[in-house]
Amino acid sequence: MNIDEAVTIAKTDLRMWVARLGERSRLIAPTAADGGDVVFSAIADPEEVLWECDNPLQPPKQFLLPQTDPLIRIRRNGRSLRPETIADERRQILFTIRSCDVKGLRYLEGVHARDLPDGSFQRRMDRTVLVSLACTRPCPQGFCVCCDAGPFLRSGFDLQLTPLGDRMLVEIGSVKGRELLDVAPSLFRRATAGELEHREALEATARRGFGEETCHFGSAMRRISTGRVEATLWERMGDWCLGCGGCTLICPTCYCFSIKDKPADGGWTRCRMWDSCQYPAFTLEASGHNPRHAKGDRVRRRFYHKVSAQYYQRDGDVGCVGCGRCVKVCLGTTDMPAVVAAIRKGEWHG
Amino acid sequence: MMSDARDSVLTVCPFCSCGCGLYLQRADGAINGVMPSEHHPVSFGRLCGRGWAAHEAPLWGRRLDRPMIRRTSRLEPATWEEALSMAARRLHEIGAGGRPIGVVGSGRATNEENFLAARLARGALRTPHVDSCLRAPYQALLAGLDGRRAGGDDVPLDWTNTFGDIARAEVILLVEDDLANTHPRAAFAILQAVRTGARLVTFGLARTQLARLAWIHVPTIPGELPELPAEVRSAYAEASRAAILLAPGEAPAALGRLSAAFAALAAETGHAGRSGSVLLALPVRANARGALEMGVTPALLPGLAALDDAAARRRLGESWHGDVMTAPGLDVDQMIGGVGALVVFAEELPAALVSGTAARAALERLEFLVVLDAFATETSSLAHVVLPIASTLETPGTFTSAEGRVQSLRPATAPVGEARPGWRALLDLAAAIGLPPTFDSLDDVQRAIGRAVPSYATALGAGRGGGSVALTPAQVTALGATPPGTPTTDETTPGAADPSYPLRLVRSGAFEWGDDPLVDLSPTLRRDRASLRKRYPDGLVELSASDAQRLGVRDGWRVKVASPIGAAVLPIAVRHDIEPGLLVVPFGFRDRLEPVLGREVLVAVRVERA
Repeated sequence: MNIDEAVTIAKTDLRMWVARLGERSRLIAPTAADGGDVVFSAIADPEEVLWECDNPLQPPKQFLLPQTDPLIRIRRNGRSLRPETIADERRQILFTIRSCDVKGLRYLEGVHARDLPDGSFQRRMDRTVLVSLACTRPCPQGFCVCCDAGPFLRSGFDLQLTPLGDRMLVEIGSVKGRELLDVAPSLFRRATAGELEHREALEATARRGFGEETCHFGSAMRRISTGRVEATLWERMGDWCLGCGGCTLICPTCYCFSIKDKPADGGWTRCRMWDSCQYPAFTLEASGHNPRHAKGDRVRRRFYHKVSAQYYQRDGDVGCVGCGRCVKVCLGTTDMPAVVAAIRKGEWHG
Repeated sequence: MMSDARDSVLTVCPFCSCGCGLYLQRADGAINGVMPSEHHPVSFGRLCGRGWAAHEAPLWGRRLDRPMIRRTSRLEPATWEEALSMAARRLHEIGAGGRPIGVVGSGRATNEENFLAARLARGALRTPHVDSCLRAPYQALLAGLDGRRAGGDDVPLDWTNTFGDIARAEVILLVEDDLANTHPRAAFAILQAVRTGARLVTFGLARTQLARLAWIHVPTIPGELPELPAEVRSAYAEASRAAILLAPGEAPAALGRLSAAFAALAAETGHAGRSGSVLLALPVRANARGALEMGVTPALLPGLAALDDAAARRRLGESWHGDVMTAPGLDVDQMIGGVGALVVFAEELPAALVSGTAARAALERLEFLVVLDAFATETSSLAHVVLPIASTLETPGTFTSAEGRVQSLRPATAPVGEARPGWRALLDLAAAIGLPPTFDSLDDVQRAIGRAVPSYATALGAGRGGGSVALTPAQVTALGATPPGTPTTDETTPGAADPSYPLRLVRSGAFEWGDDPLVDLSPTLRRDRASLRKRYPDGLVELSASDAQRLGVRDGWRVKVASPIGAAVLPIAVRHDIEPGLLVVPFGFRDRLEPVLGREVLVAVRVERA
């Protein structure tokens, strides 16, 4: 790694840096919530940032794609209707998000640039800076190593922070990232060779922490893409799923939505809202036909999108970042690791 | 009024009685979504499909945002003073004229609101007619629980009764309509148990998702006591940890016998009160238990105290600062058509009443109807006075879950327009009628609850985490001593089958969530759970594939269903998960089949192509 691309800051100076950043941008970081949980929140004070915590259950995609997102205002103009874009032009820094979430946001960036570029997403993404915190140990449900999405990244971040004793290493991944250092340049100095070695060692230790087990996305992808998964497997899996949709809503790489108009001020606000392919009527057609009437068909659809070769080729990556959130949120037993295992073995026992 | 300025506000799901926690997400001060809570002691980071859309109805639905009165034929905007004084004046007139007045509370409303609704009835209006929809089946289930304890009448029954216990049980007996749909969090606990080897036995009308995963499924008709297979009895008896879950349908009398039979089984096998073993009744709505415990029932006082319980009357009088009317009253089904005026709190009556859409005609004939709600519903459109209140996302208060957890709701935004918190609106209405408010704040109301219902004093005072309440044998006895609901002749007639009526028609008790405003006004939920009434405007009756084949009919074809009482013609829907010989009326169509069923839950019928 090029030594010019990394600096360090004393941990005691982080507060000052965060305060300066907060003056020019909305800063979103993990904070403590009511119920004992860690949640991403816009902070008002640097003290609110939690530096040592688990990755929040909610994915930071909601700051690019809010759960309810007003897109267009439609006003009456005499006898005609006049649409106006609702442009969110606020600058925001997603601060100390994890490698898996960086990868997830870059995946979404790719999806929203392809075919019909999504103006709303891109407008927000242009004004968003990704400052990640590398994970120096595996999280309990995570399997990012299987998806090349962590625990450390080589690219994709604007800045990547790594804790090194009493200093924090800051790897610069982009011009946007470098600009964040300019708010308090005296707090940073170039990283030494020793510090960079320390960072490499931490990454190696973290990777080893995931254990010896081989990753299985490759073999699952082969089986699923060559029609070697029995239909009955999906049927049986469907009985272990309660159709809550949590897996898709919480997933950093999922982005399905619905559009709905809300009456407002004599006109309407056209909103985009999160939706899920796991919901029964998601594919219900006006004729009354539903191509995914059976729950097992909806479960199958999800995993085809995430794991099959056709999507891998189209999107350039497997549709999973190994964050483990689907394991935590599943109201049944059909999380990614369990289903990947079932696909490989051709067996499902709940 | 808002708890804090942060973006995530922890509150309780407003749908079923499992009591999952969730964060309401805010952006720029407005609610825009929900997120699960990993540390919540019930939901542990999970939510069902309804919970994930808990923000939608208040955000997207037609909201009541100002008081309205009907001076002529239409509802017109009015001030709170005008609306309250019209309500008070008309209610006085009707009461003075000797015509009964009823108050309907709600399983969708908080404990504080239900307590004040009971106070409005028995304290301000001096009427004993106070009840909520869907209370009767739940009361029947509770009443059957074993009250025989060595510890004494006022010692809480010591079932541990949590979903965690269900997940660790070795044997699970489940009486359900379709638990995966009615109570997903509870169904998840069962999935966890079965996955680790537990044996599940399901009792229900249909081969549901959970029935497919069961060790044994016992087809059971509402209104009939199932036969317990011998191997089930021994497996249950031999298990060190076993769970019984009762998710009510209808037929209160039969449900009482059902829960008594299971409670007796638990007592005989030593599971009653054993740590790790469970006996849990699951009502439909989020705060059905709280509504009942707060006194929204015609035959009990708050705290599930008997009407003639002198100590309870005294406590209540001190808490309400007035006399308490302690006669028994009409239940909610009897009120429809049986009262001159009705005050309805947060309820869409045609969706939840047993009489269904037939209730609309009775509501139209009321001399006076006051509706307090957050949502514009069919019920509110028929009102003479509409008082707008905050939705559960905008009001503080508590819900009591099926497990007995008393949990706090936290408002994430202000009520819309001129809507007031429901507890405030009820105090104002009672004051207008003549019972002055001696409470100034929600804390005052909670203290008053604590004075009237001592078990809630501890639970409400338990701070952020909330507390819990447990039934005592005295309370179970009181529940059992009163008729749970309008008597139906749902005694099954075990006599010789009449060959001219060879099939049986049963009314399903599975609540039709699609008709509830929280679902109907949510864009995502009404798409996925569109009510049957909307999807099939002609109604329908369900029958098995083999019966359909025998009769020569297909999905959507019309049949004539006739019983000794009467007949009806309507389309069929074919089901592949019910037994031959049985026709099922979904809850949403119970009024269409009234000519055939009458007040019964189960009748013998004959069916032919129409």
